[in-house]
Amino acid sequence: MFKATQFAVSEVNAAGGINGEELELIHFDPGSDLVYYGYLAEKLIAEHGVRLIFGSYRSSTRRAVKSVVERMNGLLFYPTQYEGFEYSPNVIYGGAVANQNSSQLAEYIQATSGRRIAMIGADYIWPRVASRTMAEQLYQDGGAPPTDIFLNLDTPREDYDTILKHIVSTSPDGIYCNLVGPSIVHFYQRYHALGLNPDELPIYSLTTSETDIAMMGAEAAQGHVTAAPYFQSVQTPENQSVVQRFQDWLGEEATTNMVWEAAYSQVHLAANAMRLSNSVDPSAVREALMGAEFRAPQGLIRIDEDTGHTHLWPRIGRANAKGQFDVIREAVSSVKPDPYSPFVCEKNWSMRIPVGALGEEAL
Amino acid sequence: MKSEHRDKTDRSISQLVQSFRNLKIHILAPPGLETNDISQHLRRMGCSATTSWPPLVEDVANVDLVFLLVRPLIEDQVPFDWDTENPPAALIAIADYENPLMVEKTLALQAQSTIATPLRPFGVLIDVLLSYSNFRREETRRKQNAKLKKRIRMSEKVEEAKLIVARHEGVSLDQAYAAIRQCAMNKRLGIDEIVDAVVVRGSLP
Repeated sequence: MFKATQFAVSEVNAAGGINGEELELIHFDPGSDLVYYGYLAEKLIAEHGVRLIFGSYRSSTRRAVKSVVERMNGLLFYPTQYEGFEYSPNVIYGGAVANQNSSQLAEYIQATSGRRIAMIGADYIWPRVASRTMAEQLYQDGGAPPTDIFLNLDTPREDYDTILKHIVSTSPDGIYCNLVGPSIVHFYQRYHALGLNPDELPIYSLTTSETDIAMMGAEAAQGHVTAAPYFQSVQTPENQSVVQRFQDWLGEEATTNMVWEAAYSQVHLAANAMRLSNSVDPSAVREALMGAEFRAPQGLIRIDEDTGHTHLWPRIGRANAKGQFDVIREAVSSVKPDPYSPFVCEKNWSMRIPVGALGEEAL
Repeated sequence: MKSEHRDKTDRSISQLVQSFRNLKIHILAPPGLETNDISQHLRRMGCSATTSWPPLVEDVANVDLVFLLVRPLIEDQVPFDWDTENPPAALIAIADYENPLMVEKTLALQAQSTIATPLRPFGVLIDVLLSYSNFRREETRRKQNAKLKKRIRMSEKVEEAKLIVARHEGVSLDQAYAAIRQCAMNKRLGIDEIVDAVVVRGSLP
């Protein structure tokens, strides 16, 4: 997330900054300390003259920064997929909400898999809501997931074998997995070590990304599925060019992922808004952002005036042997964010199999 | 490892949460900032709301939830005849002041909750659902109370009728009840109708 922001800022400045003035990036890392998030956000605004803040991942950290920017008239750009049901005039939401990732994944699972989907997630708000949302969609006509597990973030690696064996003992057709951080690596690696087969028991996720794959190894990830608006392998001209430029900037091993792309796009959207309004005042910038469009790596995105969230292009990817995702489904057009959508929402999107992906579907 | 089955959420609760966009919402407030902010946020939530002013009870006869701006009821003495014994909808009072006059008025209206202006978007959804849920629960209690009262009144009448028949026929209370029941069967009427007749006539019909 930070690298994306840094890279995008360097691009903005290389293109002449904001009407001649360069953007200055001030970076703080609060670690995982919630109180520190609020403290540093205040410090940025009060002592460093910052008005636009980019970042935060977990919902708790977003809330901490949100209350600071609401109180001190700042603007937070939040690039991460989350559980929705939120609105703030001081936050621009760039990540997917449920009708932009979970709905399409539910549709894909129903079309390609049996009904028994085990659920596992990290034990905090977002995965709990995500599991419930998926269960409501998959089991609309009755029934329930065979298992529904939430793990503490510091669950030791040794426990994962027991967990996996328990899941397997319920004969699921798939596993819906919303772990975060190192848990993802443990889970997929132990799955692989147990000799389980992704063709028979795929892991479905809204979070597992190229970064996680780099840590777990391509072999452990191969064959599993993630739903997100962006993958590094997305074939738009913008993406191919951006990834190349990013790798030139950081090194050819550098990877991008869904949060990377959202953060990158948000910096450019903010820069355009500042140029347009010729101002750094958060209210003026926000007004210029409403309805603003940007040719992002994922496609043409647009900030939704009604909700302050972003129109995004849902996709489904399957991890391949090279540690990248093959895009096996993509949205026909961008999907308007519906953060307050009930669990089962009206279908207002359409997915297609991308040209060239047909070979994958023979599986 | 925590392994849990789905929480057994009450079906009516999950139905309400799943279908909150179907709630019929009405805002009783004059055109202006408060009304716009609330409408806009309700729209953001996917709900629709009608608005009107002055606050006429007829306008909210068929809605599920009403937002009402309370201040004009005090400042301009705008009349609003809300039936607190049997309210037609859940009531959320829009509060822009907290002084005792406003508080008293809000309490007298027996609103299910209040919402403050300037509007803070956070909390509106839970406020709407909680208020509506509270309203439905109160409505259920009211209906249950009415049923229980009726049953008590009926059982008091039955005792009275038993006494009358026992004295009149010179039999025990149990025999009196049997006679009342037999009379009801013979005439193909309900026991409550025979009981009413006994109390009026002073004897079995």
